[in-house]
Amino acid sequence: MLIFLSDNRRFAIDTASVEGVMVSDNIFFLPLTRPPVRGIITHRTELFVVADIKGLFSEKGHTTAPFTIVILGKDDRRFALCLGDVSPRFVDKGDCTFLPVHDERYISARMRYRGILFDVIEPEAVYKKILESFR
Amino acid sequence: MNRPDYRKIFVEEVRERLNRIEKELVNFEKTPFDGKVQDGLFRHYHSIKGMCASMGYQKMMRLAHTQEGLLTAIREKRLRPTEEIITVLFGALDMLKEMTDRIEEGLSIDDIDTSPVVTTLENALKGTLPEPATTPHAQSIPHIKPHSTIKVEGWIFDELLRITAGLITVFSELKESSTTPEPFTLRDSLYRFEKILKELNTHILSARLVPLSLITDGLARVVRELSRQMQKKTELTVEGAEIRLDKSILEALSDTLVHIIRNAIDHGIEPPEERLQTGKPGCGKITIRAMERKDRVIIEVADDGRGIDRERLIKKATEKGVQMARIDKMNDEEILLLVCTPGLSLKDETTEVSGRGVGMDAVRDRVLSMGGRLSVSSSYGRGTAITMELPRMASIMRVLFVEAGRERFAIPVKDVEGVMEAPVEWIEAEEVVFREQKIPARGLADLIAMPYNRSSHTMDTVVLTDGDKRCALFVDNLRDEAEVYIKPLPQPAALVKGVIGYMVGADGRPILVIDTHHVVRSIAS
Repeated sequence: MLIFLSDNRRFAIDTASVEGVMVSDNIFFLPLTRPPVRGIITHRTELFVVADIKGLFSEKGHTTAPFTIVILGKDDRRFALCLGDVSPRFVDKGDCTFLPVHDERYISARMRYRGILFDVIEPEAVYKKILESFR
Repeated sequence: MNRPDYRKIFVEEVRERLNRIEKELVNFEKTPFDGKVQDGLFRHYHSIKGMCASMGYQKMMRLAHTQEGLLTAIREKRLRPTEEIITVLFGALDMLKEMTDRIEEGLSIDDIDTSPVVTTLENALKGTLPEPATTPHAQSIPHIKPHSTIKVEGWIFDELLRITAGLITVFSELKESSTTPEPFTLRDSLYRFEKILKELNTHILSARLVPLSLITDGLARVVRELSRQMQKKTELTVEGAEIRLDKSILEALSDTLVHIIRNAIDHGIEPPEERLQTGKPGCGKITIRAMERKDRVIIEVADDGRGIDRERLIKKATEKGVQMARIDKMNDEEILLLVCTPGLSLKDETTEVSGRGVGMDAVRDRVLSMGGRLSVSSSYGRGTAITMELPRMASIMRVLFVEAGRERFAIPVKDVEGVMEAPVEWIEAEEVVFREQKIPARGLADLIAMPYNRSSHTMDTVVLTDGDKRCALFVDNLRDEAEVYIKPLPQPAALVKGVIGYMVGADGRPILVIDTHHVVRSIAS
């Protein structure tokens, strides 16, 4: 699992849906979109739409550079999630336990790792939100 | 022998033969005793059996063998080739395709249960076929999947080798120039370098050209299955299947063609009894016609069905929110393009085949994303034609770079009629005078919801043309022109209206390419 801290909230992402992690100083403009869509980036010559984690989980504001960006999703439903200026790390899934959550936006489960709770981000739900963000 | 490299060759060869069988089975249904068609089918089944045996795919071999047995009975006139028998053969063919897909993915085919298909084939052979509804895969619509492998003629490799040799020579020259800088020698080497690069690009693009037949060969089966589902009779004719297009365009085109054919059979082609009453032959006709026009390929899909009822189309479009005042200003071609209104369906009922209103807008978006254009013509009671004008090679385009709202964009040069400076009063009036004609204008920054970066009283202006329509676009700055490699926008970025693709700048920055057709139409309306 990939774990990180954003706005004092702990998140986790299943590495099964992580295609890559990159750090960038820029996210480029994509017209006619609204938050959480932040823009676009290229990764290994491929273009990805970037969603901002603050646009998903905070009412206001967005992350600032340098941006740690995770490429998520599968097949033709891939996107980038900007985590902001954070240093994520990988932990063994076997060391984690998972608890169910009910109706929490973009969260599929709660994860306990070394006694600390993390919200597990659901890439498919984020992708659906991205689709709604095109004007 | 089942090594991954052999497996890849096996999959490509078997898939190619299965596609040919699919096409030949449609012909076989029409002319079952045509020796040429029969010979072709036997040859393909026989080759597949041989390949399966050498790779150790016994289950697949037995299935192909049983199908061959059924064909032998028909050839020897022991069995009548009914529609149900052909459907059984198609069902078995689908199972062979499924097995091929599994093998390609490196999965085992041992757990695929072939017994229902084999039993049906054996029953067919004995003349004890169950009811049509229970025949395997009777309702499936095959997915058209162009080959991932491109066959390249040998001379192209000879040319690539020659070009590589030229590149090595120029590289040595450039290396030498860097130690003893002689401006003339450097310029000369760079000139030759650019020439060789262009040549290299042309040959690589030629190697990527594949015939349209790679997808049209599978469409006869699609037409057969859809017609059966809709209880209609339809015949497909393809003209110009040998015309070659870029592989990426062909891949994007396959689903689009299936969409159009689906609509034609469901909405256009009438049931046989209705056709006979109106003096038409009972069997409907769909014709795919491909033609070359300079660097573009025109693909027309025409049916001889009931055509589009314009009044009904307008009524449905207004129900979907298109304003009547806008429709009143439209010409006939624009009215017919209302079939592409998102969510619009001319059917009141949703069927399994179509009627959910997700067809033609997806077709239009796909064609636009390929840098193409879509037009519709229709004669009520006589039929409809959907025409797609597509670039033969999608990748390379000459663009003009512009800046708007602090961002850089590219505009296809082929759509630029001129550039000029617009005084402030034109900007405020959103109208410019170009070649003594007043044309509508807007700021590019406006269109993309960004602030202007206006530093003077005038603005650089690009005059765009799209068919008979013209408009002007105010931009912050005009930059240079270049030939660039354009990539289509992936999902979900492709949802942005007014952009046809992107290129990656020298600094790694993605630069969006403006969809002139969309921009001109939206400014003009």
